Amino acid sequence: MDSSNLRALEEALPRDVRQRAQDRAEIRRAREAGGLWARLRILLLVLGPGILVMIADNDAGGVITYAQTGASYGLGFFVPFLVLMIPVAFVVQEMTVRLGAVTRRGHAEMIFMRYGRFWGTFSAVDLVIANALTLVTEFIGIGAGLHAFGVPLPVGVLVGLAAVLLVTLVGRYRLWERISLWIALLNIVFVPLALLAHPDWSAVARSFGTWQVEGGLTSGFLMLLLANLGTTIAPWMLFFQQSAVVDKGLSPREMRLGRLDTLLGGIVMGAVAVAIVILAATVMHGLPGQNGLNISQILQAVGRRIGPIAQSLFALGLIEAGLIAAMAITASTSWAAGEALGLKVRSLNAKPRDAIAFYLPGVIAASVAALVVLIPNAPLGFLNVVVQVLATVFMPAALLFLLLLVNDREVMGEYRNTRLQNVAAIGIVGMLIVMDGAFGASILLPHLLG
Amino acid sequence: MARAIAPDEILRIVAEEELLQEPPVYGRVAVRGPIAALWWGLRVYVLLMAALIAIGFTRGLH
Repeated sequence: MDSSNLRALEEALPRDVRQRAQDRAEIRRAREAGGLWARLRILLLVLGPGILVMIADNDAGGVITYAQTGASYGLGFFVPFLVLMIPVAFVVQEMTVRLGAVTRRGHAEMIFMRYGRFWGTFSAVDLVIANALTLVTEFIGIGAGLHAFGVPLPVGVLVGLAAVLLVTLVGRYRLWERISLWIALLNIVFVPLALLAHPDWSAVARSFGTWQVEGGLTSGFLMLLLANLGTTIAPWMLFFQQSAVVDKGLSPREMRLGRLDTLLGGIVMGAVAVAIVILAATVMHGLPGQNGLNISQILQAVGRRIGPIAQSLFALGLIEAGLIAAMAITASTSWAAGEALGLKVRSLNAKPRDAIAFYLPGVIAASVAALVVLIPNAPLGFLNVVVQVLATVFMPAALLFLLLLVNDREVMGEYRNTRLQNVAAIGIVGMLIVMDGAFGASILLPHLLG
Repeated sequence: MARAIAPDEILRIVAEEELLQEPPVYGRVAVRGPIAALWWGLRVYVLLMAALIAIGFTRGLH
């Protein structure tokens, strides 16, 4: 066949298939080249979903939760606790990598196929609502961060929305992922900030031995413990990473690198979370009114103790945290809705004009969330509670489905969970279910905790 | 700069990795035994949380 015919055949391929084939070609070439540089190149090509999902988990709400934690409880308990959360997050997210690479289907789609319409609809609807409400908190973070640079809140929120939509609608998964990864790099800004605060490193080291809870096991401590747990594993993360693995076209052959991607992401996530707790513990703990600080109080405290540049860097980190999470959650909404609706084209490789039905749910969720932030006197605190409640109701179901799917012999074959993976996963899932239930109860019935 | 990917290479990859084919279709799993118990546990959990939400809202949760 001559080259013009081959070109015509290639151009007749659906755009998302063509783009995915190009990505696969690059991985194949690197694999054929061999050598250390080629292996590094394969790693760089495969990296993405794991790092993104973990860094996006350190979202605007997460940054504020970690800062409040450090301010209220100092270094004692939460530094080792958050380090312990790294393997917890890894064990859960790694299962989505395997599931996505083996089935080439998203999480919502697999729940529909294996467990029927009721649980499929329950999962998809709950996820889309929770995502839309979580997006509200991300735009609050973006607006507050930009406000620290003198940008009026409405302008900041609309700039954030424009950035999210612009990146979501680039029509190329690889480009979307690379832009997201560059933005996600800014998450590391909290590490030098913690160093600039000159923390007491011996106290940090001691905390791993003592796990000391300052003030004892009060209801406030339990609330923060559960909030920290809730920021480590969220329902959207399961759906996001599995769909991202599918859209990226990762195969079981790249599973080892997909795991490494997830592990690296988990380490960065944990390091940043710990850095924020150390920073807040150093500059805010022990001050009057240390409990329940809001965004502007946290920014002011950082500026007062470390300087205006540190305050600006913290604000920049907050903008990044909101932005990267908003981008990930917008994509997750489109993927999940596309899977639930059974759309034929549901890929970030599709041109927006050719896949309006796929992009629309994400665009609507992000736009509505941004507009809600702009409504004067909107009950934003109440919405935050609703987000947490929805996540609480939904998380056990999402985790159970994940565990059942990765143990499904017919689906996973040789890639199903090993006994050791099951022991770890069931332990973690059991703990998360119990603690999520307690968190939900504490939000709904605060007097239960005394 | 990366070498351009020729159409024949793209077409070969599409064929070899079956990128044009639909991913495998999985039928609905039969829910029985311990899985059925889990299912009921999940239903009870969802109902319990729904009841808690209702109680929370009637007590002025916000």
